[in-house]
Amino acid sequence: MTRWRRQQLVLGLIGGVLALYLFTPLAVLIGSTGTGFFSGLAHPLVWPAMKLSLSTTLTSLLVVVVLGTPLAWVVARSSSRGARVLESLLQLPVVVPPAVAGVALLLTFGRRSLLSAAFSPDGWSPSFTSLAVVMAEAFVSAPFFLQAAISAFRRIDANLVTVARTLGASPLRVFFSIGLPLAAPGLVAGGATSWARALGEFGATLMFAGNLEGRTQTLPLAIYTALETDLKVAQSISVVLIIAALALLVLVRLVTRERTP
Amino acid sequence: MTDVVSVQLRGRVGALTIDVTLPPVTRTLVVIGPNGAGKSTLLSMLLGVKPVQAGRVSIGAEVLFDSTTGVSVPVEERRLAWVPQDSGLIPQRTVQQNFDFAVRCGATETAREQRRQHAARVIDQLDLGRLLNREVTTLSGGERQRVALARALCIGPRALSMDEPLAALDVTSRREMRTFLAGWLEQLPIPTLIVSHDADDARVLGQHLAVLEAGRLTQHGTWSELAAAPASNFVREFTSAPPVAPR
Repeated sequence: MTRWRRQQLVLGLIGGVLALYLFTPLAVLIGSTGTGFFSGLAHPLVWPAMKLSLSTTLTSLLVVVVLGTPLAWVVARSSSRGARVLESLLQLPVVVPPAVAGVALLLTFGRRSLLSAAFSPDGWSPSFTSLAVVMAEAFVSAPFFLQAAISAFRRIDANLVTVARTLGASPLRVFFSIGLPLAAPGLVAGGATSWARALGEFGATLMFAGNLEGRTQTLPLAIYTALETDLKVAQSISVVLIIAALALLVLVRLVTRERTP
Repeated sequence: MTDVVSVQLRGRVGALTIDVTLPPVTRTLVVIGPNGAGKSTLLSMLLGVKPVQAGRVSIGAEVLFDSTTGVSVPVEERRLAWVPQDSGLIPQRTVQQNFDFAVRCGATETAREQRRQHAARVIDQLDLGRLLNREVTTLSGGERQRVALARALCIGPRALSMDEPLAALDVTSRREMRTFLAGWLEQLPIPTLIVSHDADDARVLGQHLAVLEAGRLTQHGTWSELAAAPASNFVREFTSAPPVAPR
């Protein structure tokens, strides 16, 4: 073995420790669940949580994409310092702990918040409703979409936009005819990543929406509840979430690979 | 008789200050200069995409920009055709779709119909019919430039500007495109402004050359005038380079 190969092997072994550490727990989880997977899924806790997870994450994804795409376009096309600062600030929800996000949402939109006092004299607030789940998911997952969308838009050649303008294209036409189609793979990848984050959302949801079966109990919260009573059920739900995450990961790989010729 | 483009611009982009009064552009003016002299920036300012502090841009009787009266026609309405170095065609779309895009950008139905007619004529003149269904990414560099030129012309522009139209081409197609372009520009009834750093391109394409160095115009005239009395080292070297490709 040459010196080169030997040293490469040493580096590989050191790095391999981390890779092993990352994969082992997931493998153990999947392996130990085994055939108990289906019986676990039959538990009454699972189906409502699955329905709720699906409907809330799809709603939050829709909101994030519809509002986030124009925002990302404007930020990506602007060269002002304000846009740079805004871009950095938009990543805040990624580094802020989810529990903190939950408290912040509660203080802003909760029953005792100023907003609630102003708009709803009878004391109604979205907290502890399915809407709160959507809001928590959108809050924590939006930055993932925004980041991907901004970088996808930024990869578009600025000359394309300038030429379009000399041809007389309005900003909306540039956005729809050049921005969206050319950034589409990046937008889909960003949507998938952000959806994965929303599916896994736990902390902010627990704080702001609570853990109410059928109303605010999403799959991750159902795992939390099931852990106290039936480990098998918690495992089955976990495996479902792993499968969903894997599928989204594959989707991201597929659409981003298409980009590079 | 074509309109006369007159350009007088001053502005700052990054560390570079551009302060230029171009000689009146009637047929083809080639702006030459070393890299970083501000040639492309000058074009952007002319098009209206980069901020201009002071100056005046007019075509014929029409004023596109005048800092003293506050006139500034937006980019979208200047009707200045622009072909960037890398063609600026929408990738992953067919040639036809690129023309359709230019047509749809017309502000009114009359304008769109006019553009449709312009497109049909110029596609015919440049013999692009056989390329219409090809995807832009599959075109050769020369084909791409022809399509870009044709698409730019279908807006019925008042003037044409091209940024290094031949720089992205390989040696063979470059010579071919240069000859084609020189002949084509001679018949084109609108004034044309070309930016180039290449001596051969400049010699073949422009009857009139303007030299831009560090944001300022240092000399202008025909090739032989420049060669006879070069105003700077750059002009001396530029005009003394032996022609690589015969016309």
